[in-house]
Parts: sequence; C-alpha cells; structure tokens
Amino acid sequence: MTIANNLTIKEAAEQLRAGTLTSVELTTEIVNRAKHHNEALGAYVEITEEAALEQAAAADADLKAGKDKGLLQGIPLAVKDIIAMIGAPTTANSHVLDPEWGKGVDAPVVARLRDVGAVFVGKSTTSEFAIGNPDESKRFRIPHNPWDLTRTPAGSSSGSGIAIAAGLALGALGTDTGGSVRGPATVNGHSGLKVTYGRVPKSGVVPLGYSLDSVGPMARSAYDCAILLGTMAGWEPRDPNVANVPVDDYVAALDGDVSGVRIGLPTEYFFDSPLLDPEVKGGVLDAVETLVNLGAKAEEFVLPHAELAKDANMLILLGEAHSYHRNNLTSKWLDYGKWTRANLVRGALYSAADLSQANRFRKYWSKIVAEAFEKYDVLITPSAPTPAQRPDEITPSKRLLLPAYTGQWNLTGLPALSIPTGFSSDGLPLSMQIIGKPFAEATVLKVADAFQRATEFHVTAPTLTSVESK
Amino acid sequence: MADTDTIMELLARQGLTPLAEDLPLIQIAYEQATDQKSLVHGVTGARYEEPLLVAKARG
Repeated sequence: MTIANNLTIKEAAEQLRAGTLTSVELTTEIVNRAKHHNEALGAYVEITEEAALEQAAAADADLKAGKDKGLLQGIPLAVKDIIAMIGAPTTANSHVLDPEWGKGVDAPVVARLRDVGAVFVGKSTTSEFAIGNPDESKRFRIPHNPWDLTRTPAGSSSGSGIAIAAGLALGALGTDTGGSVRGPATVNGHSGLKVTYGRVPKSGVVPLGYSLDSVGPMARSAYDCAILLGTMAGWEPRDPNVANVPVDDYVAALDGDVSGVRIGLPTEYFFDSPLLDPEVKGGVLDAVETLVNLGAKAEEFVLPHAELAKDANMLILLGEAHSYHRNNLTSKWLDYGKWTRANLVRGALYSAADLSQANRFRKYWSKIVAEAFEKYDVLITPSAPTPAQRPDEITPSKRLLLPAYTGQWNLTGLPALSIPTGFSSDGLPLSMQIIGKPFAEATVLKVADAFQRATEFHVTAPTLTSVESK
Repeated sequence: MADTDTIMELLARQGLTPLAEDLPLIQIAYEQATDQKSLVHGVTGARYEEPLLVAKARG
C-alpha cells in the first residue's frame, strides 16, 4: 500500500483505530521510504528496522486487544542522535563521543514515548554535538533539504527535520539550544516547538549548553506537536533540570478560537532589518492578518536589545559547550569535524567576566520580555531572515552579518514554535515563530493550530522528484 | 584581521593547539567574540550600577 508522505499523527491515529491501517503497514512503508531516500537525504544515522517492526506489531496487537495507550500508539518517530535510546548507539555524529555513552538506556523522554506504544524508526542525523556543520572528511552522511538538495536542511536537528518533511517519520524529537528545533522546522516546512526550559526532561541527552538546552517535538502540524508534548512533558524526579509544573492538556486546548488573543509584533530587529528577505516578512505579515481575521488582535511594539540577546545567548552557549568539551578538545582536536572544533573553540575566547555579564544581561532582558507579556499573549516574529540557503551562501563570516531570531527565546527560556507560512518564489518553505509566556505551550500551540486550520502550508510536502533523480 | 600569534597564545594557555588550516575559521570566531564582548558589556541597565539606579529612583 502507498501512504502519503504528508500523513499526520492525528490522521494515522484515526486510521489505526478505524482499522483501515495497521502500525505494521505504516511502519513498513515509513522504514522502506527512509531506507530508499537515506543515501540522498541523510536523514538517519541508523534505521532500527527490526525493532521498529516489533514495536509496530506490539502496538497492533494491543489495539486489537482493546488496550489503547493513546494517540502515539503505533506511530513511527525519529530520535535525534544525541538522545539515548535502547537498541541503537548514540553517536552525536562524532568520533569523539564514547561509543558506550547511553548504551542500553532510554532517555526519560524516549522512555515516556515508548511507554505509550510509539515506534522508533531510528536515530536521526544531528550536527556534530549539536553545534558543527557537516564535515565531508568524517564518516557521517551529509543531510540535505528535501525541497532542494542543494540547500541546507539547517541544524542541529537536521535529520529530524528532513524526516518529517519527506515522510520518513510522522514525528520526531529534536533539541534546541539556540534554534536547533526551529531552524530545521523552518527550512524543511513543518512545525517545531522549542519548549519552556524545564518543561521536558533532558537527562540522557548529550549536552550543548546546560542552562539553555531543551528537548522539543517536531511534526507536520501544531496539533501533532501537542500530541507529542503531552507525553514528553512533566516532572522527572531524577532530572535536576525539570520543573515541577502541571502539564496542560495540550490537545484539548486546540479549539481553533483565537478571538481576543493579543499578538505583539516586535518591530525593531525582528522586522526592520534590511537583510530580512521580503518574502519571509510578507509571509509572516500575511499569517498575522489571517489570525486577525480569525479574531486575534495584533499590534507592533518595540522590544529593545534583541540583537544583544541573540549574542548573549551565543556567548553563554559557547561558554557552556566549551566547558563540556574542553578536555576532549585538548586531546582529540582532529577527531572533531573542522566546523565543530572551530565553533567550540570560541568558548575559549571569552573570560569569566564576559560570561558573568552575559548572564546578568539575561536577567535584565528577561524582565523586559516579561513586561511585554503583560500586554500580549504571544509574540510573533519571522523564524529566520531567509528561506533555506545554499551552504556556500552561509559561510561563517556571512552568517555573522545576518540577523537571527531564535536564540533570544533560549536566553529567556520561553516556548517558541516555528510553523510554515507559505513558499518563496523558488518554492522554498517560509516560516514564522510564535513565542509564549513561561509554560504557556498550550497558548502557543492553540494560535498555531488556529492558523493551520485555515491554511495548508504545513501539510504540503516535497515531491522528492529531485531526490529520486539523484 | 586579528593577530594570529595573539589568538594562538590565548588558546595555548588553555591547552589548545589548532592546526594552521583551522586558523581562518578561528580568526573569524575571535572577531565575533570580540564584538560580542563589547556589546554585552556595553548595555546600559544590565551592569552593576543597576541597584544604585533603583535606590536613587526610590530616594
């Protein structure tokens, strides 16, 4: 049987319960598709076919016996390869990570998904240690954007983003320290949620920036992200970085009603840069207009220091990453990819005073943002200044010049969701970012879901023609 | 362009000995770090005079 590559978790769950689809049929199709396209797309480090089909058969048997564990039962997922998962090694796409790291262990977030009957297709490609760019001299596959193989799929959750876009998984886990869930969601044309810091356990995950990292759901729709988050979120007594805050019923919150929702549009830096692509900007403003037509209220306002917030996040990220990698950098320099070591060494160029001041600014700016949220329920910005670029267009020096819109929300620890808003004249996905108050993922998802009820950008999938011809 | 010897000395103090081929990227990183340092120390209101400003405002 042929299963569309834009099938959502919600649709698949309905079909599994209606008896028109089995998890074995679904998983077989997804695994075969993943194997067929993996050479060209580089979505997976490892495809765990045998285990996936066993999990699918178990899900089918349970459903047939009336044991319904929820909407993720029998649903094929991808797990970013910095997250520990039983049955597959964790490589972090690196020769440096100890091969024994995480062996035989499920990270709590994976264990929660396994407990509700999810199926794991495999470990998805990550930028090395969630910070490098692909280095062809290393043994790992180079990930490619399924909309245009010459374009970046972004990182660091590259494989998870590709897998969702190309229908090689229905949902995925990514991690986000400066935009690594939202970047791939943006350029691959689907939804990706960076959760509030502390919303989801992050133990069993190779760290990048201790005080910034989060594990987030990636899927075609906001609705599917809500399904995933409902299982992923919540208190974990063994994890010192999880908040003991009640978990909302994220799916129940999706009622399509945004009447009276107050949207703030921070103009300075996020909308007024001459380097912001006009099609990206137009896509966001059109999306806001759609939400206003649905009953939301939007107004522009000034949120100062946004560029500095991006830099402070990067400074803290690099300092924390360097502290994790310092010893290996001194002894295994050449084992790291060339881009990874160049990125990680940046943490050695800051002083203790720099880090201290960045953290002080973090508090200062968080207070400014909190004041903005007294007036607004959500903020909306572009997710990125341009559609997916070609690797030679994003050299380090060029990248420094571009504005960036995601790290600010890691600095403040707030939830932020990227969703598609349309397509560029080149046929590349465009995106916007919806930011919410602490632990207000339900509001962010509700606004996104309302937009997606009125549009079809999120269920538009690449044809994979160029992949086939490669 | 940043002085290569200065960068190498800074890194050597931390046990890091990059190859010559790494230097172009590290020079870019050094320049970025220098810019970020300047920015992060420069913002009014996020420095240690803030408590004094609050006290003055109350006074």
